[in-house]
Amino acid sequence: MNFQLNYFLLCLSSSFQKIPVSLGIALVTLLIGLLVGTPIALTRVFRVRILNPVFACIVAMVKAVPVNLIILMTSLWYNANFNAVAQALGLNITVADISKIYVAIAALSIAAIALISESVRGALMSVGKGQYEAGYSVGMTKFQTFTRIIMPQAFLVLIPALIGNINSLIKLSSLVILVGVQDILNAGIKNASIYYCYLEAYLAAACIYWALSIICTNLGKWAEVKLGKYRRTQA
Amino acid sequence: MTSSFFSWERLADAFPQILEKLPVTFEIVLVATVIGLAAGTLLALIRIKKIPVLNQLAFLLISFLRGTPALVLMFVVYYGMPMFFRAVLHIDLSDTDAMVFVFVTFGLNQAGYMAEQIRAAILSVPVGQTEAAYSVGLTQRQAFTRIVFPQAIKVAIPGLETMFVTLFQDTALAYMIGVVDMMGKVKLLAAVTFHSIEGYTCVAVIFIVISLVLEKLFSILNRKMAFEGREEA
Amino acid sequence: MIQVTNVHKAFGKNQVLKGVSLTVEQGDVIVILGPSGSGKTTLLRTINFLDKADEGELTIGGKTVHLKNATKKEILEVRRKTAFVFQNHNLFNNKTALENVTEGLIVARKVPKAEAERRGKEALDKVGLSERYDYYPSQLSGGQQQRVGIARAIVLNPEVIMFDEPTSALDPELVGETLKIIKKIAQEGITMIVVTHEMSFASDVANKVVFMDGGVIVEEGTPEEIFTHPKEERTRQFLKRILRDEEES
Repeated sequence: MNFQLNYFLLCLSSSFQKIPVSLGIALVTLLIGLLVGTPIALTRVFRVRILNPVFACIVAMVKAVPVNLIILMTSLWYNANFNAVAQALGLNITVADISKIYVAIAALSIAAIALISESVRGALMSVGKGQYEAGYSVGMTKFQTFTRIIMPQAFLVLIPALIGNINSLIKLSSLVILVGVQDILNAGIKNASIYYCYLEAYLAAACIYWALSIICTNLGKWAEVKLGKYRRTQA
Repeated sequence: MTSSFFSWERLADAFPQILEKLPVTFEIVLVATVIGLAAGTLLALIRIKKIPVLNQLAFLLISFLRGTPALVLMFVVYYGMPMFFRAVLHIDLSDTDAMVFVFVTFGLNQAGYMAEQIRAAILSVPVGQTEAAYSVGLTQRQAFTRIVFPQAIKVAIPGLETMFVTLFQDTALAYMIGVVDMMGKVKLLAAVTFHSIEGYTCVAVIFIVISLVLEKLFSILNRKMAFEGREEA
Repeated sequence: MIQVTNVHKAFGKNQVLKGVSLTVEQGDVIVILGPSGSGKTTLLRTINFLDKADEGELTIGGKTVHLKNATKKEILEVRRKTAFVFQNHNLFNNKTALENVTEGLIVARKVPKAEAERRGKEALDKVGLSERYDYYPSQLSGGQQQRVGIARAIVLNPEVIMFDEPTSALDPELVGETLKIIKKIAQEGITMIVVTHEMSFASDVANKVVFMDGGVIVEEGTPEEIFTHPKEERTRQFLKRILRDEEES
């Protein structure tokens, strides 16, 4: 059996149509990651008592566990306990009523929170101590110094880092195949099971992920140049 | 509900059986690192020397390997390699052990990442270092191996650490093409007991321990390197 | 009048300040000299609460605060009566030269924007940067950055400006112009404490020279007293070494 171009194109087309699903999963998890990861990063940058070491430990643990394992465990837990939890909350729904995509998003969010809290932390740490001191020395409060001086500078570093995170999350989103979400990868494989064209299906998916990654990489480079204008560091 | 979902007894039963498969993970990591280091250095050198045609091909290959999820790459190798070998080299790979495909997958995957790391590290060594080496009469080869490369390695180490940790985690996908690693063992156990959460918990714990050990090892390595006296700006 | 009394500060086991007291009269230009590690910079930083002292008191504007136990409000009050010029400038990287100068007025002192800008431009003009209002720090040379740093301090009209080695991060050819500007401000009667290694600046501009070593003030007096008739052996040694170095270079 040889490589079948027509099957490859067929898979490419069905995978292509599912780009919004994978992209959507990546963007939603990015948003959740930012919302939860930013407070975590803040407690770490400002060394808040108790919370700092606790979060440091949790983030390190989550980063150590393979993401596919996180997805499998989340999904197992969800399937076993959802009905009971829903019942306890007085909700008249069962596990079958909820789309698998939410499980996928919940599981990937765990990884995203760890990932993005580190990006935010890195961005905040990239602003030197002297910038805080200069703010204090002209009589600004901690809050004023942070919002007016530190945050705008950290933001310039954060944007390229977040674009890198989106790139990683798009690739990680291929793992939602484990819970059966119809994404870029799964759409192609559906064809494969009919026509037995597995190589074509995986190669088509690979090409689409590749293209998305090229877009992200270039976007990141562009942002870095564009935003780097003001942040040539001084000695 | 919850008590039947998770049981410490099953966890205790599963743990030694799963831990037994840890060497499989090490084997994949070791082979992938060796392949990745060799192929990655080669790709990096092709890019730095800007060898025509090869440079462009290397650029595309690196970009593809970095841009494709490890899971997808693994299946491309799993289905594509036998087809390629049969069509081009007339070699039949149908009886080949799944581990071979895993080695190739993660070797290539590592090569893609390492090529960029190594390239950036080598380019980070100032031209003045090479010029100084020439000025005292070293050949091009000597200048590279004795002066540039040792400095580049130090720059590359922090990046390699991240890659190494990621590689460990990515190996947890190998069971999907039939390798019986720790994850594969959980599946086998689940086929008998109909329970896998305990097995997954064991694997998670083992990965956490691995990452702790790796972090410790790299921090020792970094400190050792720092002592060897490269001045930080 | 500004008065600091009995300042102690340790970093870990290293006792950097061992009971330093200093009185600054209105219009004083005080230069603090001393070998590196003598605690001069730390003294300045504790006065502005950039480093927290372990012990000591500060009186400024008729109000006395404890250097260790001061409340947030007291710290802010002190900082709004003082200004600081950093060795490595520490300009706000995300703000233009003018914004750097007006930030403390608008945000910390609630001066209306239009007035702040008028005063900001005036300050930048004074340091010779009329052409650079809208430049970002990354677009300015080290000497220009330090002049913005000085403008940022004088615009606040503080009771005292502290200069922490304002010229040591600059290229040698830029030291002169920066010192000239500091001298000009000094002659306008602004109170300042300057930590520096520039001997000629100390003898020309200061009305009081303080020599520190090993975390204590060894000797203080007029430039005349310190440079020509030092009483302490340690001062003599230090001056001899510095003058020899200067001759050699």
